[in-house]
Amino acid sequence: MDDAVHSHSGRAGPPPGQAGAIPDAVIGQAVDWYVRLASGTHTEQDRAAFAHWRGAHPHHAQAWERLQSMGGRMRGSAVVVAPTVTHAALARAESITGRRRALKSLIWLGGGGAGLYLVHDRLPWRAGLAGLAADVHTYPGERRGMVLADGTQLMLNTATAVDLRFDAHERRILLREGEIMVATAGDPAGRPFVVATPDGTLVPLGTRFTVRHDGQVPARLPYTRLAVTEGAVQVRAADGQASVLVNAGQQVDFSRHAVQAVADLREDGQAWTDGTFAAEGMRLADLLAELGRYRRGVLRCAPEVADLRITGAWPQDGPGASDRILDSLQRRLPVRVDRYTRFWVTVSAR
Amino acid sequence: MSEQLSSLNIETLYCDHHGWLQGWLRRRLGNAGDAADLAHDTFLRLLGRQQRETIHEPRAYLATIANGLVVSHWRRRALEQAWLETLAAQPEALAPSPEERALVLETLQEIAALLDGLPARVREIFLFSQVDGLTYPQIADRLAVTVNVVQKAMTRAVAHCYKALYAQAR
Repeated sequence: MDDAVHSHSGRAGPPPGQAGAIPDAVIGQAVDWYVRLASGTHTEQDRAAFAHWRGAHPHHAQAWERLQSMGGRMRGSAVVVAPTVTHAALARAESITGRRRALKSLIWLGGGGAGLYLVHDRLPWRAGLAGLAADVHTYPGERRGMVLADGTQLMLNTATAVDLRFDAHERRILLREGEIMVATAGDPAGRPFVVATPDGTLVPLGTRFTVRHDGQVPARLPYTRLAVTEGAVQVRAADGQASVLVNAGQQVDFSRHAVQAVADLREDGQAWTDGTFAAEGMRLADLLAELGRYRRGVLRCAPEVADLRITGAWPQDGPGASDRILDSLQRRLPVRVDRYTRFWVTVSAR
Repeated sequence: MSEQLSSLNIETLYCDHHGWLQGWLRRRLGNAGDAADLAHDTFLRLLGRQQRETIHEPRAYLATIANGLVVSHWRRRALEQAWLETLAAQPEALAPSPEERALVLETLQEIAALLDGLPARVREIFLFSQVDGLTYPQIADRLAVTVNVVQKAMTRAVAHCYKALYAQAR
């Protein structure tokens, strides 16, 4: 990367034959002048004093020249990329690298010959601009991203059903079942944005977050999980009065009766947005329950292996992805996978 | 077991370890195409080194170079993804042409590399000043901070950029 930066500016290196390095103190002075003259509020006296300083020694002029060339490239960038896009892209890239770094620690643990890896090509966001009133859904194992008419990005994870209700007063996404990632965009018309599940409503405040609603988990009441990666979201349970604010880096579970305590965000719960199925020290029984969301039919875990723990990350997209994960479990744990039909699979001790 | 780096030895290194390196990269990247590219780049880097060095552990040596390339590869991908997502969020966005894509990514990479290591707030202030062309009072207003804070952030960012660009040159 440094190379890329250097190669652009022919003046990057010291001119050949120039004797002596520029002293640190001079660089410090040049920086101070640059900062003062970039303020937009400097005076004529400042200019005069600066001209005097620059003329006082070749080193001064040389240090100044370098800063000027840096500033010129920054201004020039605005011609290629709109400044607002530069701001947003850099901030977003940082959050992506952060998430990836957190995930990477999982990946290396998973290592071995199991072919664990991270992040394939991203979804083509532009794949389709969803119709305004159209209901959207994904099949088990499918993942889909789209950009809504207001610019909001919506990604559906496996087996997810969503209604989009955009009208003159409100932008509302109703999550019936499954899991979504939402990155909201400001609405030119100023309409409020709401995500609703059967358990309650969420009001994002300029933000990126995931919502998961499980309506039919055995031995568990229906609930919704909200995880916020940027900005903040206000949650209100359907039967509750007070709302709870969930900030970036936090997650919370809630039912229609109550909102649970806010907890730290779990990175492995976000991996699907990058197309990765991730587990961090997860019980095998829990992992199989998760994996069951990505496929049709019955996936049974025998009690004697339920408590084995596993850490890993696998690509989740494409046909047969969940079968490849099962195969990988068989290689890495003392378990066998029996497939009676495509729709009836059990995992038991080997 | 030490080897003197000459183009002849690089050839030996290539024959002995290229397959291993490519496999190593494939496991890191999860993608054979990228792995082949980065393996190639690793040997190019090696050829580009002027100094004659003695290599004791060829694979560890190759892995160190390759690892640096993997890190910047991910960084580039993150930036590309971030840019496309940002673009997708624009109401009137059009799909960028390959040329535009290359040009924009190069520009964003350059800025990201230059500002790498600065806190988000300092970077933001620097961008407002140098890319958006706002005055310090305007920036202060927009971010609800004092002009003094803006000035301090600018001093830090400009010094950082100078160092990033000219650390070796002096």
